[in-house]
Amino acid sequence: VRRGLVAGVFALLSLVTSGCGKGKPATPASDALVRKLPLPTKTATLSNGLRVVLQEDHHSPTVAVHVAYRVGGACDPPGRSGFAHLFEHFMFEGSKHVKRGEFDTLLVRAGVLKKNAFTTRDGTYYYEVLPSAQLDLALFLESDRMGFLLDALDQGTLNNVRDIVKNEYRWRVENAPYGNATLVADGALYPDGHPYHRSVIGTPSELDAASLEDIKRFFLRWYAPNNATLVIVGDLDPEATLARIHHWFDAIPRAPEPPVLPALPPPSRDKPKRIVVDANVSLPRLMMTWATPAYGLPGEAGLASASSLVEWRVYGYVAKKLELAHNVDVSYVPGRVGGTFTLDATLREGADVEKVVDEITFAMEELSQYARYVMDEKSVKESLYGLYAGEVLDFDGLERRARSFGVFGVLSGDAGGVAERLRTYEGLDPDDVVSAYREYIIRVPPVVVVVRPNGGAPVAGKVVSQ
Amino acid sequence: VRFVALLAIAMAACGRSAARAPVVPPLDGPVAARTTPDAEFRATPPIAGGLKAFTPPKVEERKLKNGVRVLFVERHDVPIVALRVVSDRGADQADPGIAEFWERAALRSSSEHSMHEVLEAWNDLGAYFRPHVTRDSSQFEVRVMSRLLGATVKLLGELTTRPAFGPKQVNLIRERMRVAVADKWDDAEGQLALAIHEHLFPETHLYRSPFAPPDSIEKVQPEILEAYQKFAFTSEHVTITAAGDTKIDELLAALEPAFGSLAGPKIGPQAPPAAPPDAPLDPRVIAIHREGTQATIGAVWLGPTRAIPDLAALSTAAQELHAVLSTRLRVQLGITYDVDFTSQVGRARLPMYVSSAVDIEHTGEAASEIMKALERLNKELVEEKFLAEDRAAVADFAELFDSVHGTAATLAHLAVYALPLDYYTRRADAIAKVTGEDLRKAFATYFPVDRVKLFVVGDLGKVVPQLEKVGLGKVAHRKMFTLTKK
Repeated sequence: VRRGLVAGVFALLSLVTSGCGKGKPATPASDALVRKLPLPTKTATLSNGLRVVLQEDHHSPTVAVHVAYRVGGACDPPGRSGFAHLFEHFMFEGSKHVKRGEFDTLLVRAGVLKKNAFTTRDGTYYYEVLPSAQLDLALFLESDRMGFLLDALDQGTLNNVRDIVKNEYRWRVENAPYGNATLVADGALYPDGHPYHRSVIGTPSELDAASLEDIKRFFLRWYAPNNATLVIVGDLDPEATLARIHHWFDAIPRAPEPPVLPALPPPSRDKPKRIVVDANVSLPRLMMTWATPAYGLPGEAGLASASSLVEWRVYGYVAKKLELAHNVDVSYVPGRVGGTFTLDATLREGADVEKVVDEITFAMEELSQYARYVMDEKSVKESLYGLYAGEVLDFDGLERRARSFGVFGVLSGDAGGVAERLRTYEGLDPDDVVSAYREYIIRVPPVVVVVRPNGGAPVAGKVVSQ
Repeated sequence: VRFVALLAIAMAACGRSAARAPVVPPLDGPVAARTTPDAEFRATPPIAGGLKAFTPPKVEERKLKNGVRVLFVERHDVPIVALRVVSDRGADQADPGIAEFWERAALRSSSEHSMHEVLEAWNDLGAYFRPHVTRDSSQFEVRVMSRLLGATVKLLGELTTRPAFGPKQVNLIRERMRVAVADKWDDAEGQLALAIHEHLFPETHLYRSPFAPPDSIEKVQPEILEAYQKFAFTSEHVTITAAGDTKIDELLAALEPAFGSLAGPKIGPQAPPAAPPDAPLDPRVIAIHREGTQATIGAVWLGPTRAIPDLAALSTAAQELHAVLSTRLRVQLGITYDVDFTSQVGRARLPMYVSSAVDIEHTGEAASEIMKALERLNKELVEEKFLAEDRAAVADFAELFDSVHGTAATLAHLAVYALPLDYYTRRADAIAKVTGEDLRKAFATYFPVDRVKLFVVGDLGKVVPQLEKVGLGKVAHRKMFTLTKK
């Protein structure tokens, strides 16, 4: 009875939504929109391999300088998880011509508006936004840490940086509610040896094991102009800026080509993997994850569309209709090696976890069975339109735009790749979305992490069975 | 579910099982050394002399026929428009928890369209939409591609002027509110805020809870939310701010029919809640039990309202305190990842505090360092070179106008506090004039070390002995705030 009822609801919804489609805005012609997007004005590659992306925008007298290195948590050497992230912190500790502590104070004195860095699985990104008159300072600082970092490294700096990163681990993971859930899920989703098996933030014991020699070798392998993209967006003259870039960066020698992270097929699994975690939290939570193809491979973009449709349908059934969960969120994170599709539900107090997993699985399979009705032309276009608009809205602000170029550079090798991504979205049809959903989500058993409230457990959670 | 999620730091657990060959080779393999040749021009950092004076963008000001004020900045760097519908009435004007609930429930249905239809309409537009609420204001934020501005304004006008909150919708939001509240209670920073507000405000005070109180969530009904929105969004209290890829005439042509029906009696501004009486200084330190490897410390006092004459000195002082403690606790001692400064300088007096999550073994040391820094800054002049850095950091107003959506948000801030359009130019001037003595006076007046209390969230067995040892005063303790029996 239940199955027929739900199928009926889906089919009805599909008819209703189809009927509402008249007069709604259509997906815009991407070429017209792409022409209006502030895409790179000039690109170049220096003789040492440094890729340069410039985009002119004179609405305010500021520039965003962003350096993206193609080295992230996936590049951590064996036994040294958290290394790429640890290294991110080193890059602020001075270099040959910048004393320890001076990196920040020089920027502050120059009127910096934003400065920071972040590390993902695939890349490490550094940025500053500052008055355009101070562009040379940013180029000086970025070139000095790219070319002369090792001159300033010492054991005292390593000890201090390691302490700060371990405090970050305590804050983000060890003392954070549900802090272990994602780590546990990714560890089970990707097998040992897979670049995404370990956490970007690492483990305290492996951070402790890092030596000064390790740091030097890591720098020499990955931190080179031929593994980086320099993006500058804002109040600049492309020719004059390129000349200044040559001035500061030309002398930095290229490194032997670093190892290339391969796009790996999603790891196979015969049956669902169930992990139970006890945590000192108020509400039970459920996380279901699937490994998906690498960025840009066939089917990959369709999963971005499927994520919003799955969220809408599963939320409607499990939270609204059955009242088993407070909320349901579905996310999709693309990556160079592979992607991750995650369904995260916060359950009602006392909910039967087995029943919730069963109902979510049922709703997702039902969605697959009736996919061509639910993921119809209109629904898919709507979801793609949201993704499409999201990319365009992400171009707002110099730093965000520079970041977007940097991230696309790391993911696809093309900093201006957003235009191609928009065309990909527009070219997708419902069959693409449905087949990607069936192939990578429905046919593959997920990793399921169940977090149970337990006042005697650590707040981050402790694995009690798997 | 947006693609931007790729920026999230992805984490995976450390494996222990039999490994297959790793993709990334070990570091002990051959790595070629390389050296960048040095050059004389690198010897001195190239800082351009003199910072450019801050020049805000040109703001156009108009009124709709019903008196609604419109502030707009035209710019065409990105093909989008950002809008804010801003009321200068916020959470202070309702019972505890109502505005926070409204914030999650608004912009979802109208008297003409159901929640499903409205969501479909937002999806069709591909727009980002979000209500915001603070103690002093309620706002709708929307960002959309400029070619869809007309349809977006029409929808926004309908949801602003003819809101509806159905029982089913309210119950769904109630579920999400329960999760939001649980997340706050589970979190160390949430526990710190709960303890601070419990201590500073009497039981009946509006600010007794920093977040929506759990029992308030259960009481909210559709008519309460509708009444809140109608009370907050009247023509006398609303300003519409916008920035982006359109023209003022096009914007007004879209706004007039959409918001022209906004009316409402003029009701004078309601006074903010009265400041609470001074909380007793004894005990000086309050510890809240929460197991873990970190202690979250907050040094707390009651901040001023924004009506003070030396707001520029206060902001500069806050920057100095943050810089001093970041340098000491993070850079020099390596016992924390970060230091936060929390202040809500608005119409009412609210807690102001500096906080940090520190390695629990160093709790006493960190608490002592925080108090020492406050004592020193209450008495001594800050060196001119540090003061110059503080002034530069505080006066980074170009950042406020960097993005289209940031510009609309900055204009909204001006509207909420009835500030002049050249406010940031004046403020930059005022900050440039802050002296060392101004800073010392600001510390003594607004960061009074003799009124500071310390709150520490951490494992009592570990933190209490350390706190007693450093001798900052009597240490009291209490249990963790809990929502449910675990």
